[in-house]
Amino acid sequence: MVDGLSLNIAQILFNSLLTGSLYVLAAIGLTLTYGILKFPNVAHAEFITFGAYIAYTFADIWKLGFEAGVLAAFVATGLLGVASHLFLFEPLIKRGASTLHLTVASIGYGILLRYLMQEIWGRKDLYYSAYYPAFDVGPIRVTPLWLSFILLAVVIVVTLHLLLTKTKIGKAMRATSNNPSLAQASGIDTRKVILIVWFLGSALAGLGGVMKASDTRITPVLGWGILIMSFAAVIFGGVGSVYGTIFAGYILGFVENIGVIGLIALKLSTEYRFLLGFLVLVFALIFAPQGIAGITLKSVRRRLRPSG
Amino acid sequence: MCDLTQILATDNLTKSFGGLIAVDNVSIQIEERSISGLIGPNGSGKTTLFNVISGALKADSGKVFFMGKRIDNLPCHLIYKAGLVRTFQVPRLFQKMTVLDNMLIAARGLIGDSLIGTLFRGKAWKKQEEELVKKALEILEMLDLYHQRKNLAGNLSGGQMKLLELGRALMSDPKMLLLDEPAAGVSPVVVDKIFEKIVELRKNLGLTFFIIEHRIETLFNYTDKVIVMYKGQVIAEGKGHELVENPKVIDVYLGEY
Amino acid sequence: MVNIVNFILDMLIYVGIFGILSLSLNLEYGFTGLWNFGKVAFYMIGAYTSGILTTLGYPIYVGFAAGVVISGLAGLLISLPALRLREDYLGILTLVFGEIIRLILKNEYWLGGPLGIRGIPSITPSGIEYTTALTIQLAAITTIAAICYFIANRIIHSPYGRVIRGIREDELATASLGKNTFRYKASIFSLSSAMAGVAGAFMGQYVTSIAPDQFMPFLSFTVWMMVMLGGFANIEGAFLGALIYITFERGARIAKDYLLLPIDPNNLMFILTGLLILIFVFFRPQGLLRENKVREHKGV
Repeated sequence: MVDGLSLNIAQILFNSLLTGSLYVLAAIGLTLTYGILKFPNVAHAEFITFGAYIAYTFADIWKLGFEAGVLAAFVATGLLGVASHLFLFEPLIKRGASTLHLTVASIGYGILLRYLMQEIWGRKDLYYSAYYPAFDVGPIRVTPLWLSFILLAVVIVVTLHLLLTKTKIGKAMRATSNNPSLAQASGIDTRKVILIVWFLGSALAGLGGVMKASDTRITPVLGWGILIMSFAAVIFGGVGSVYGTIFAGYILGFVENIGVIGLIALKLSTEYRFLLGFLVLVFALIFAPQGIAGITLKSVRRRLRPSG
Repeated sequence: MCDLTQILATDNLTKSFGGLIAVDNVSIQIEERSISGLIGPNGSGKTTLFNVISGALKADSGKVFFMGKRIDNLPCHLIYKAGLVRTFQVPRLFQKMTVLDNMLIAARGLIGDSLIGTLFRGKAWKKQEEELVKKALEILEMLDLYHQRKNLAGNLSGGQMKLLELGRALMSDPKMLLLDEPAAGVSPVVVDKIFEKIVELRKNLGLTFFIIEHRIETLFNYTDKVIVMYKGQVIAEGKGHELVENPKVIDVYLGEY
Repeated sequence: MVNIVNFILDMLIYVGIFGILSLSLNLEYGFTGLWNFGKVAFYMIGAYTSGILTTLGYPIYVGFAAGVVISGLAGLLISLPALRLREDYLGILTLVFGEIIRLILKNEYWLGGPLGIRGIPSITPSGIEYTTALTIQLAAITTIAAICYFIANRIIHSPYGRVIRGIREDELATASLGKNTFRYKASIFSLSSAMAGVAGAFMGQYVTSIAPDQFMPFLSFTVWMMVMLGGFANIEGAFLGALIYITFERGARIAKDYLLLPIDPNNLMFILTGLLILIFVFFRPQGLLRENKVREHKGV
């Protein structure tokens, strides 16, 4: 056993649920736009940050309360996503921009957004004034905020599932994500679907931003800290797959939290817990580019063989 | 099973995609310096067979022998280096490069091909380039493409592109050429021109040709033997005029022509 | 007066450094079609290798040589898994690679930790007049840049250059012409990484202290912007793009001291940078200069 360290499995699981929920919220929008429009939206990081700042404005500048902040973050970031598509990505696609150009555009757009936010809200760290004291549920230390976020994430996952399977628009979303041209050819208004995807995905990212910021602090680089983990969830789960991303997000949350224990035991810096997520991403890129669903022993072996 | 006059032989070659068997236990032999044809309705596996032989795809089972050596386990660039070159049905030319550059890139074994060679043996590769250019221009001349040498390959007509494909294949001093519909989409006059060039090349350079074609009369006129494929299998083989009498072949083509 | 001269000298030195970085990215993306969003990783490896060795007492030329070799090797190592990936995945992988290296350097105290490496010896002896020192540094980086330029120039006009352009346009067709495309991609990637390494090694001795947070992904993005500004597949464009971007950046810094603006000039500069990128993507996606024309063959 590890000396000086008591393994609070329940706490680890709880923390994994929390971290995982964060990654799921942040990554769903990314996987959908990546899957449909075929480019990685680097500006997604700024959507995450934007949500956190909007919540701050509503909750602490205009003093409307934290709940109002959360709602505002959802709506405002969703609208930002829609606007981004309408005024930037859609026109570019219409002009025949290549995947690379879309990616570079998203980089430039991200810079624009980040420094606009920095101009509006300044560079200093900001904190939400809402304070929720921690209490214990059995062996687990929790706060009402964490519990609500996990609950929120669960509600969102369930709602998404119902949306995707039971509603017409949800099925249209799945069809478009699978094969955009086929979906269009079979009469689906793919433009409407894409705009809804941008709204929903960005809104969730904004929520993720509030979640992360309420746990740490609001800074202009908030989103960037989560972006690579979001990409890890997206690629590991399979680009375009909502279920894959959900699964991958929670796996990553677990890996990160269990990894902390391992790192402490090995006397390494706990900052390396992010490295574990990065390594998952690297593994996924090289050995499982189709996502978890595509991993078979054969495909892993095939990649290890010298090129032929 | 390897006759010394056979330049190419396959042994129970099989390739499937999911549930579909594209090449089904195909065993064929091609004689050196021959011009052989490969025909069959769409979807009979002809292009897949070429893909497997040239190394673009890996076979599920079976062997391929080229000049006595097994090549089915080699990557396609090594097969190319061994002297077996294939062209594509839709010419895969570099549209944004000039005709001459398209020719030059096909040459193999250049000093200037490696980074070290490029950086440190400048005089040597520059001299090699000059000789290469001469050779390329000769081949272009032979194919009536000399006047297009500085033009971008993307600006050529369909027939000219086909000829350029052929010219490119010749740059590497191949021993055998797999031609996938070398005269597709060109006017009848150009078709004859292309096939006459093929005959000339066999005579002057001793090359072997294995050609996929849909124009049966053309094939029968210019080839030594024709192999017929249907649904992944070889169903008949022989000289043109024999095959027209073959009931299996007639069966397969009923409704096609 | 002297201040302006020093200002310009310093600016040109950075144009040299970033020009080399842009050149290396142009070779990878402009000519071969490889998406490298992790240029900062090899810049960092070069800077740290040289920085650590020279602060340990090794002569500067050893530091530089090691920086070049180690970053080149790092490029080669990364290419083994990375170059088989499709383009956007390669981009993400290179981006993550940079962050992995930065995370390790930040957390390993024997490699400098968050404060990095200090007191890196520079090629100019201490005690010289500042302007003279700057001039020597500028001469040095210009020489290095010129060497990189000649290497790139030779590559473009060679059979090797033909093949990488073929890979850029259609990798499968190039492979079916008997070229081991992986070998070409790996060699150009290693060479470019080595170039980034020498730029890093130079930068280390110029600023004399380096720290992990100087090497954020934003730096890789900056190099992309320079390549796009100057023109893809144009080696002069690499330096032009660096010149434009750095002039723009320095200009904004001066404006802060001399203009009264309602907006924080630092933020304004980046906002304008973002806008500039978007404008270029919309209206001039290939960049200012067109692709280098390959020299005509003799007697054709």
